[in-house]
Amino acid sequence: MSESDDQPQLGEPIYELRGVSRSFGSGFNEAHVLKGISLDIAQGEFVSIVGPSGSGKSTLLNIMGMLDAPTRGSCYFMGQATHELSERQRVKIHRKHIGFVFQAYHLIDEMTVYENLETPLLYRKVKSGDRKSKVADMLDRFNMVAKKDLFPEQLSGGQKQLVGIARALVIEPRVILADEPTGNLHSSQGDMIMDLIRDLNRNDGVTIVQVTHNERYAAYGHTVVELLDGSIDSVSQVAGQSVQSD
Amino acid sequence: MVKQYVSLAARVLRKYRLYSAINVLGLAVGIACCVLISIWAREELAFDGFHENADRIYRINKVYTPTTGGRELHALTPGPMAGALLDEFPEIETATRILPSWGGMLLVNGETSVASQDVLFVDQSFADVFSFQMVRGDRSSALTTPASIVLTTSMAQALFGDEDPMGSVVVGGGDFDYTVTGIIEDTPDNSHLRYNALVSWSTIESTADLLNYSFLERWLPQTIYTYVMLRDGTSAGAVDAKLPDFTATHLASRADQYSFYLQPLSDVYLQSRDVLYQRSMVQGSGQSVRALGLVAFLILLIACVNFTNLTTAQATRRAREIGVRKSLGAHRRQLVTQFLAEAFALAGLAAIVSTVLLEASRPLFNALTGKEAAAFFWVRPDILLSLAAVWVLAGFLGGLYPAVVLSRLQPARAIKNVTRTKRRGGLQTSLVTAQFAAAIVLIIASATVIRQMDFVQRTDPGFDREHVVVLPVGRTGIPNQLDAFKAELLESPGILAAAATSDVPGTSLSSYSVLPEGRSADEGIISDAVFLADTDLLNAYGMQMASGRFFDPNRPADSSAIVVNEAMVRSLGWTDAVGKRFDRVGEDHQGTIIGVVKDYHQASVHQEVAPIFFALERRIGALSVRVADSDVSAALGAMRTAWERFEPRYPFEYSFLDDDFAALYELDRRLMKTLSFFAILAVLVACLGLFGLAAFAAEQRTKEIGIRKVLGASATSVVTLLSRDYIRLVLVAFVIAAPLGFLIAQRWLDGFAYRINVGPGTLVIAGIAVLVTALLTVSTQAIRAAHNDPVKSLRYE
Ligand SMILES: Nc1ncnc2c1ncn2[C@@H]1O[C@H](COP(=O)(O)OP(=O)(O)O)[C@@H](O)[C@H]1O
Ligand SMILES: [Mg+2]
Repeated sequence: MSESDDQPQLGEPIYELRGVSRSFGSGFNEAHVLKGISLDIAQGEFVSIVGPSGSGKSTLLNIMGMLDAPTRGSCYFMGQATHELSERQRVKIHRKHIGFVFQAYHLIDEMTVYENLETPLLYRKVKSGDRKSKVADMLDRFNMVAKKDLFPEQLSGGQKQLVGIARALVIEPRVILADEPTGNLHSSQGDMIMDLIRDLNRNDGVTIVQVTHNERYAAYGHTVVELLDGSIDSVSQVAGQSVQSD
Repeated sequence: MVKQYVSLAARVLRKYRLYSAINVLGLAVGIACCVLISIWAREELAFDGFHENADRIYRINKVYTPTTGGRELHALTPGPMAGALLDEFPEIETATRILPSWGGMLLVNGETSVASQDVLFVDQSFADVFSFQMVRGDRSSALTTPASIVLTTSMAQALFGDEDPMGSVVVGGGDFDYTVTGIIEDTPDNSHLRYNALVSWSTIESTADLLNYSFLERWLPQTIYTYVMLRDGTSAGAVDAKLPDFTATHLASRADQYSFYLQPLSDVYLQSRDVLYQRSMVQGSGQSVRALGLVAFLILLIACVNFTNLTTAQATRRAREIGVRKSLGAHRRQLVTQFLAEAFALAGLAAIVSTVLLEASRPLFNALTGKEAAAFFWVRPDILLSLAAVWVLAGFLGGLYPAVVLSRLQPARAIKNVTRTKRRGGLQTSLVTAQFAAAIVLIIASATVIRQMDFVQRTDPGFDREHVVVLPVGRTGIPNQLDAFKAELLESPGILAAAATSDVPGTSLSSYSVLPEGRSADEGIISDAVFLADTDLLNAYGMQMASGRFFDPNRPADSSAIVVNEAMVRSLGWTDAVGKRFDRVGEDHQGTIIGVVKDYHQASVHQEVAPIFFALERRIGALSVRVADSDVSAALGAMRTAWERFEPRYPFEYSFLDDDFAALYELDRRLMKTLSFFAILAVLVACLGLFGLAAFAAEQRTKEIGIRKVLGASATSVVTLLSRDYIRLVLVAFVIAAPLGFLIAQRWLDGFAYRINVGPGTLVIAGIAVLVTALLTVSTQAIRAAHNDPVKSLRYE
């Protein structure tokens, strides 16, 4: 992890959502997808968002990832209101702190495993030497050195998602936003991915916000937030799970 | 980063092979066409530019306004004009006179004789005005003494082989001894003035009295060419302004009919289509240069439009990738760079392929231009530079638009791939419409040219131009034994008639000044074309009399009689011409009109049939022989035998009149070939782009089509669904293109006195041709999509 001054302490809020609403379209067609969501997420916390399909989970995650903006309300990331940031600043924070993991992996088909991992570093303008060692570390860590020159279509689903997580992790982000990371995987692969995510949270202190449909996987987190029709239906603590503060 | 962009671009190109191939091919063809045309156009535009003082050299032309109406441009000037100009105009540094030897000249060195087409009598100042390179001899004096001749390198080689020709004697025109005083380079390809040999002007002056060459001192008739070189810093306008006074002084009686002007040397080759009486000069067509320049631009435009459209279409399917990249922290500028890199790679590939096409199209290029291009003729700094320029231009055109549009996509949506790009963007639609409009304009233009050329082919010339063999006897000794020669020819059963004439139809005639009856000597004099012929003219050419009779060999008095054509009668406002008097000015020659020949096309159908009069006079340029169509080769054999007996020094030569006539339309035919070739290419390139777009649209709508089929749609209805948009698009293009094409075609036709009209038929056929081609292109894709297994396409979800 980087030793920058702005590193918040474990337990301090990383996300503070205040009355976040998001609607699409206008007039008769206006669809209110999120309706006044308020939610705090602490540094090092592992949050699972659950809820029926169409309840607004992905939309919420996109807003947290600055890929989308609320129509009303505000979202504070590490104390800064995202809507007050310029495009440039937003991209900068995004690059530095946020890693995405998608249900459909969303690897870039035309690039090898190695290049997929390298891309976020290129966007961050990391020097060639550092880039090589960081990518090499990731490949090592996920046992994919032998697969580094393969293209995504040559990998199994689980392997693809491993690359997806490695790609999110290579920039050493403060938070990983994972939208149904196991949604397309067999249960054994799913377990493997979830164990990995839990390890990241426990050992590296990475904040995790995941969307899942699987109750068992939801219980990997400390907190389960249930969305229903664009509103928070309930927030519950998972028994036996608490934020590590060692 | 750059390395990644490049290798990624290469992989993307390979992955979407079809689109890349279409894109590269279309653009490469566009670039190649553009380069070919511009090479040709630049050479045409640079004609005569090699003369050191090209910008100060002018040819004197005149506007001739006959009192009988009409307006003609002539290149001919009076003999004393050059001297008078030099005396009276301080602006003029040098003036030089040129007189091409009539019918060329036979040059003989001992046993060797060579017929030379273009032998020019020129002043010594010819060497000061023009920059043709002297290979041997003294540039400043070679053309000074009478009977000096300067041969071209080829002519010297042909006459003397490896011997040194300098100082040797060459016999010219049968009996005149010339001394070789120099060797000059062969006429450069890009010179409008053609020569095989130059003879000193003083030669004419020394023999003028002998031959009664009154044209040297008199202002009428006008038979020579005058070129002037102005002093540095003076303007042609100043000279032009003073020329009317000059004419009034020297040609008082005709000042209102003759208006001299300076034509810049740079215009002489391309802008002289309407200038009559240009001998030993070649002509190009400025109109063709403009037309093909426009074509080149349109084809490049079409190719660039393809490129933009295809890269845009191609890029929209990468919306998800863009969303992902944004989620990985890509800044917009970085995405724009990525797409530009891909477009540049593609355009670069196209530029490389275009050079291969260029080299491969060399034979075609030669056929189109009538020139000989060397291998790798395109490897020239200017062309390589313009290739680079087109590369950059196409790269930006093709890359910038998709790059900017896509990088602006909202990432959250892009990842979901809900980029609801309407079926086709407004820009894309307008671009494709413009493309098809351009293609339709080109087709209308070339269809018009083709139809007009067909019309020209079918126009009755007013005489029978088939089965006439022309023997260029003018430069031989045959005219001296004409009657015996003709008699021998006519013994051959295949030879029906033979006429000795000054010129033949299809070439330009000389002009005489005459005073028709009933007009005052002050302003009634007219200068018109004269056809000097013997009594067999009508038999040889099959022309018809409108009234009266032609010259009769049995009436000696006919030697002073005159025959005119119908145009002459019309221009003089007469109803009946027969019996009217017609006096030659300056000569003691008074004639009576004995007959009127029906109008025939002496010149090309570009020109209105001009007034002509016929005189029975021996100045023989050619012998026209009418042969029976049963055995042309036997007739030719008889001609050869006779020729070789009468004129053994001079190799037998002949041509068919209809070939000579066809040469009149060489420029038009070349335009027809090039224009229709490029029009077809333009349509193909446009369709290539359409094919790509249609394939893309069909692919994008795979799911929709699948659902429709599951719901029971027939294959036909699916094809209709996919093709409907394109029909509308071609229709809009037609509405734009039809009036434009009409105007352009009509403008070209204005250059013909006898012409077709651009009817609605041509327009409609052009529209239908493009529509059908477009539909065929689109439906291949639509049919494939319609026959896809719907379940398979839905399983994608
Ligand atoms: N870009 C968009 N435009 C219009 N509607 C959208 C857009 N994104 C999401 N929606 C709508 O918002 C609702 C919630 O979507 P989403 O957040 O993806 O739900 P979940 O992830 O919980 O299934 C859905 O009804 C969806 O159609
Ligand atoms: Mg979702």
